[in-house]
Amino acid sequence: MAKSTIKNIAISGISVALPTKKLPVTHYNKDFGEDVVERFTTTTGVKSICRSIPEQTASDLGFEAAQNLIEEKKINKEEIGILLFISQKPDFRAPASSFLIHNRLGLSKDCLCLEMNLACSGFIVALHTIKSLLKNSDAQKALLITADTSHKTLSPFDRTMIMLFGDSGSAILLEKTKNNLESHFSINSDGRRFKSIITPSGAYRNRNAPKERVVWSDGILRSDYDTHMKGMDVFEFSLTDVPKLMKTFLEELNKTPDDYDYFTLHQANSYILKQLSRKLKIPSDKIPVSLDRFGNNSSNSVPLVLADHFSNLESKELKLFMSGFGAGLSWGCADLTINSDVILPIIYTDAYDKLN
Amino acid sequence: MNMSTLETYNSIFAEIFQVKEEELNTDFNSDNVEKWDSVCQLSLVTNMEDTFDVMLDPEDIIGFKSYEIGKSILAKYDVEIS
Repeated sequence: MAKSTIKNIAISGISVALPTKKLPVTHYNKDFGEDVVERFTTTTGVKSICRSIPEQTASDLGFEAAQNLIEEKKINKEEIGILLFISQKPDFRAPASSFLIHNRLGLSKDCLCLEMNLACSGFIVALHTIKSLLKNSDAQKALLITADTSHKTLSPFDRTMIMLFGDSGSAILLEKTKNNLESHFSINSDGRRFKSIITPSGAYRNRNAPKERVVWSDGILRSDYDTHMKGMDVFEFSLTDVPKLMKTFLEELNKTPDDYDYFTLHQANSYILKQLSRKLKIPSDKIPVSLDRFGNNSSNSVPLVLADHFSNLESKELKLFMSGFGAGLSWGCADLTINSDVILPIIYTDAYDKLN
Repeated sequence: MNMSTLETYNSIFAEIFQVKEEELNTDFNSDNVEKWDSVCQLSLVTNMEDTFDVMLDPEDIIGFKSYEIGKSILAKYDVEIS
């Protein structure tokens, strides 16, 4: 377990961008049948998702969120010394999309530009990474961007996934502060279970995989270019490894759910949220939910919850417990404080880079 | 007329997997039933919890992988399927 305490790095801005198209899951009644879709909503809690247009990439959504943040918070771009982009849907095989965002935002050459391939644990792991980097550099500010357009590698015939994942992007500004501020992290990884959520082709391992979709053992049409989730394995992971880490993390911090205002958790599905609430004895009203309207947003789930629930609050210190878990397998927890007035309202956009 | 717990149990399986109750037997499990995916699993345990007013432990939620095993799991929560 990687554990850290990082001092005097504050989150000073959060912006989230969503595509304008909101798709009710009942859109899939004609494909999967009304009963299947109704059962999906009853068990997962997802009623609608936001879908990007084909031209809009994850980096476009991340860029729009970052641009909004820079404008609204009047950030001096010269002060941004680190840019970290988290996504599983890059624009190109190379270079990393973080450089495209760096270019579009007009950031300084004195800026470290990085990208990490992470999904649902991405926000927590990346927050830990970027805080560590900022702490140990001469930069004053850093920008963390998480974004994904998960449906773009999903089989449209996959009834277990295609209705679950929404598209979105977020930008988080971090800066050094003299205020006495601590954040705590604990992160786990298990590469032995890398096949639990996998897109087998499209990179350099299975270059000649057929593109034609065939029926898999679960009766669903997929190709190796589609992301496949071993749902039962991930379900088990979410109900065992994740609460175990959350519980240990609380014990090590000598804290209980009473010490937090909210638990902003990865929005896997409502049943898993209910089980985590039960297992950790967290009152359900301390777990804000956004998945009913936006689905599972991969690395962007936690920032989306923050913008969805807290962007219109009066200025208030929020003591937060965060957790993300998913592909890798990778899971992590964070304990930190955010002032609600740094969180901007969600923006909606279909803008994309025309590469002029 | 009130349904027996077995009739209720069977009706949950029949509705979720869209099968006739005659098809429910010792071979009805996640390995043999193509439709038995994670959404069906979630739906199954949610329905069992709501119908029989129990809250399954995580190991039982995960272990609920066959028609027969489900009966023995519910028995742990004092729900006799008969």
